[in-house]
Amino acid sequence: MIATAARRGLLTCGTCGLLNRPCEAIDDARCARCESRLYWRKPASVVRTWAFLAAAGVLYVPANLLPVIHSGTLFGSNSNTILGGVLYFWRTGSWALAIIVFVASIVVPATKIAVLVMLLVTSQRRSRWRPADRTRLYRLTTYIGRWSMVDIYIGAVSVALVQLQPFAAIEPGPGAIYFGAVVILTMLASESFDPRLIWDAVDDAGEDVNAGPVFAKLQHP
Amino acid sequence: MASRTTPLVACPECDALQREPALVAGGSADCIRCGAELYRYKPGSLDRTLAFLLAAAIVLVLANLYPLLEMDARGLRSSTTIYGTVSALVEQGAPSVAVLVLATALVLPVVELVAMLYMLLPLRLRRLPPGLRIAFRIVNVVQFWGMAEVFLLGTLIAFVKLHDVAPVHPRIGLYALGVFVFLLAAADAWYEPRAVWRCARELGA
Repeated sequence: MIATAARRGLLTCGTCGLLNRPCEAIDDARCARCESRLYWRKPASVVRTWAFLAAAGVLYVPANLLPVIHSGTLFGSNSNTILGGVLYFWRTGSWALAIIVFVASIVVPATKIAVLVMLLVTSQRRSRWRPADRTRLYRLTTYIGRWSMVDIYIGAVSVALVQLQPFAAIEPGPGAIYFGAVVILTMLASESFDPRLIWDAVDDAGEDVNAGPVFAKLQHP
Repeated sequence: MASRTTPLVACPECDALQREPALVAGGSADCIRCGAELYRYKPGSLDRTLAFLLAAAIVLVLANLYPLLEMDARGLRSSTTIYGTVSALVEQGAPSVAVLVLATALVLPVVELVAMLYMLLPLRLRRLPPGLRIAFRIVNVVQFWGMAEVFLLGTLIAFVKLHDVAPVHPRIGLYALGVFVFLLAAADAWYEPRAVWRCARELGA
């Protein structure tokens, strides 16, 4: 059984990492070093994460069905959804770009929502299944989420550059803001989830031996 | 070694309580249970972070003053800066997308740079900046939400894609943005929060 900060009544600062020993007024405890609010676990972590995910899930539909871009030339106009943009790259032979955009805009948001749902369900069911792997998956999810925004930026640069009236013009479509909202909401969802909930189930199941803390693993460069 | 006075640290990801080992230069202390990096010792962190930040500040000005790309369609020219993408979105009736781009691609990277300089420059000159704690907390949030590197990728993809419409040429702004992203990443990599607090304590914070 491993020693944890919570068992010892110690609070880790979520901002600067300092270990605090709170005095009696724990409801409004602040870090002794950087003065951030201190919590045992991120506040209402499960509820907030579910709320952000639900909102992201709902907006995921218009984000993918509505066009994110309209392009018009003298010869006609067309509208492209996110997937349409990927197919455009594919048809015109830019396979590498098609793959980048497909992964960033379609695979990443969907996977991120699925992973967070899995993490929420397993921690709510107090599962003890592969906690280290689930923590690693959480870390990865938090890191890659931001790259989904690339589609918004491709659109923004295209809109700004292709204003060659009356010959050609690119305009933003109604899907763009939904897509941006999905990216922001999934980022908020992963920020609200507390990975320590994964380990609380493991710790609560173990017998309460008062083991002393051991040294952290030393990694040489 | 394992005296009762060894400082303790808890893993932010799994809450495991551990003793802090003394680190060699460039080494890190990793969580014994989940493997998360707890902290790393980066010698000269303050100097190196500042050097990269100051260089980044210069190229960030260039990245915002000069166009990123220029399109040349048989005499019809158009070009755009970073802010130009924001104003184009407003003009084309997508103000909410414009706000999103403005915040993540322009404002937050600037805030990150300014807040880090505000914190580190006085510390390097052995002065304690007022509001150090607030600046530290701002940096912590803004590092997560600023997306200059993603914007760079988006611009590069648009650069390739828009060749189908008309010839597109890279301009100074694009090169400057590329250098900025590299320098900011280097500054982030050398930034060691513990060095900030170590230095502040020496100065009597």
